[in-house]
Amino acid sequence: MNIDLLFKIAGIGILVSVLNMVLTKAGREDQAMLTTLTGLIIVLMIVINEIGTLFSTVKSVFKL
Amino acid sequence: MDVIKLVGFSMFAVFLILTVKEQRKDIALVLSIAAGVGLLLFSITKMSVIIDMVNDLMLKSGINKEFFIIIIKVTGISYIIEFGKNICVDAGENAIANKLEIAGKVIIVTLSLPLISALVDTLSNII
Repeated sequence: MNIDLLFKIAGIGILVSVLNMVLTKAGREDQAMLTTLTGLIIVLMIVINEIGTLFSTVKSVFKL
Repeated sequence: MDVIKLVGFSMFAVFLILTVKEQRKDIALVLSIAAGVGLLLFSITKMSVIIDMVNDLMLKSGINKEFFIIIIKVTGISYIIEFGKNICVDAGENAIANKLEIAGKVIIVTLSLPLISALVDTLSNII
């Protein structure tokens, strides 16, 4: 239950939305789309470790 | 003071999710998954103490240990299925959530088949 992770993910979300806005205003829709995709992938990479930890904990606690 | 930590964590997570949701719905979903994983990890690590205690009670009472292990396994499976189901519902995919629930129920029934057959054996012995 670490709050740093939430901060990290929310920060990436805000950064990506700002970048998306700037790139869309500058008329570079393709790069804006790629930025969105990259942000989503980074966030998923962060959260997938946590999900793996949760599943291994459940496996060991409930003797699955 | 775990309670205050838990409530603070959830309130903070909701605040962050509401902030991000206006701009990016996908990252808000990932944020809610991360918060859910944190809360579930906390409760499951606490739960291991309870399971150990019930295990001791079971050993003292002399009930068949295999049945107890099945009950524990079913609890773990339902936690994981519920977690996945809630993520699907949050993302707005109710159909996949329902199918996941059905699959979880089937897995639980197949796991508890030995219990049912043991019950039938006991009944036929009595009759």
